[in-house]
Amino acid sequence: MLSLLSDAAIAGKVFDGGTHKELLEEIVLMARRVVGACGATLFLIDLETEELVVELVHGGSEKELENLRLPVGRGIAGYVAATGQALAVENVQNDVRWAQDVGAKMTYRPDRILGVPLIRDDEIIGVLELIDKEDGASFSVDDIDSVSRFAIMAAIALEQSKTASTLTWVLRAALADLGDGRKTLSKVSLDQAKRLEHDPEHHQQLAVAARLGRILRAGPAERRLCLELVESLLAFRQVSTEEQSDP
Amino acid sequence: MKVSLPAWSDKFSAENLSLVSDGLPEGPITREWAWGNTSGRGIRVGILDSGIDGHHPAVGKEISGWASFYLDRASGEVVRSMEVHDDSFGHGTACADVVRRLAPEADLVSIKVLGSNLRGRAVEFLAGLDWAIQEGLDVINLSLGTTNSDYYAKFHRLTEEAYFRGICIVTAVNNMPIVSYPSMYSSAFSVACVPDREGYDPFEFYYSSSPPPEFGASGVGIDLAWAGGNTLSVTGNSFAAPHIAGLLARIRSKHRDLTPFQLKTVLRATALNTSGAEL
Repeated sequence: MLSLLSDAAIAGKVFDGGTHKELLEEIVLMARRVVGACGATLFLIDLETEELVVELVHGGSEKELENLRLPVGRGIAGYVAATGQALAVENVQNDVRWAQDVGAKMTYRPDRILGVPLIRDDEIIGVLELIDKEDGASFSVDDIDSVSRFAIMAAIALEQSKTASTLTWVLRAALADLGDGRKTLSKVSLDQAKRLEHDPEHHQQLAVAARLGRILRAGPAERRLCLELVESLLAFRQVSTEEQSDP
Repeated sequence: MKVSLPAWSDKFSAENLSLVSDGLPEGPITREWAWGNTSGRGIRVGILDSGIDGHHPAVGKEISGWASFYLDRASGEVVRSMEVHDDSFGHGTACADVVRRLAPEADLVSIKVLGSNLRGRAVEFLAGLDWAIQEGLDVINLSLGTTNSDYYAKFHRLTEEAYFRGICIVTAVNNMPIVSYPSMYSSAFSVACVPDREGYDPFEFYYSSSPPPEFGASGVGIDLAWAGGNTLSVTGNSFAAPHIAGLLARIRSKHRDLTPFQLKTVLRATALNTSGAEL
């Protein structure tokens, strides 16, 4: 797990740009991709007022929902925040948990919603709602499981992004982890993720990766030059991938 | 000369050792033996949740006790109220409905620890569970848990205490693939929901040979009572746990002397994947 996180982190650092807003965007995009959802809404909790605040909307009603605040316990997102449990709702418009007054403002009326809490150290920091699947199917138990697993790592990324600006790598690790069977994300794995953050060698690797990323984004000429330089360096050190894997 | 015995040995001295019945049948443990012709009468079941809508027709018999716990921000203390309360979301009412389907005559005690506040959830939950154990309730349903490992020892201590006092703590595992407490403790009855099968049967449950969770019960797409007199189709491990809680209330009302470990034996013997029913 540690090496998986490390690799994913380095890969992430090379390819990401990284502001908080971009991180939110990436969370929503990736979550939608996990289940093939038509839209999504990301709420973060304002702990002072104990309200859910809409941070990002995909797939319609962006204007109507902008900066909307919902008390915890209200609406489907409020229910997810209050109980801390993921929830798949069919026939949303007729569900007693659906906040009818908010729904009435929306230009897009969802049929199905899958809501998952974003939890960090037992504290609910937000709710991610996925809206209607592209294939028109119901959200399955597997969908709940996948998005929940993704949400665990998304919550870590969101928390970390408060102190370190770019940690979308955690999300990439989450995606890699999704392909790793239906394994439980244990506290141990999460602790390993935390440990990685404080590993100086890992930070050095991230620094190298970040600089490489900047060169790769600069343009084709820079990329060619970078490649030549790296190859020269490798030839000089007589290090190849095969040799690295030799005991 | 009197030999001094090591500590704790006095429990087994001639004057303290009493004869106990094994409480189990001579023949096989069957569903009929376990809970046939019972209704949960005389058994107190605590629902630690968001409260119960006591007026909901599906809840049936009057709620026999109320307690709510909330963190007072000013003092930083958890405050207890014994007033009648409502259900903040509907979650507790749904659990009460499930218990009543299996044990219609059980005495339900609503212990509200989930309100509209997000802070202090773990301490409110802990205080509510402690109170329920000190009250000596027979079965306590926890369709909630904490993922905060700082509370591991505190919940473990309470769950162990309940086990030795003969109180069954039934707890839903988290809906997300993360560990939560007390559902990871062997002294609790941990429950997840089983995939939807043909038709809903509240008595359908299974034993897992690789716990946790130890038991699986219905919890997918069930129509249950909700706050405000509503009914809702719900899915989640939260709704599987009260099936086991209700069943335990039935068994306990017929077999008062069984300890939690014997009750687990009874559940294992009568689970559909043990008793040879066609899966």
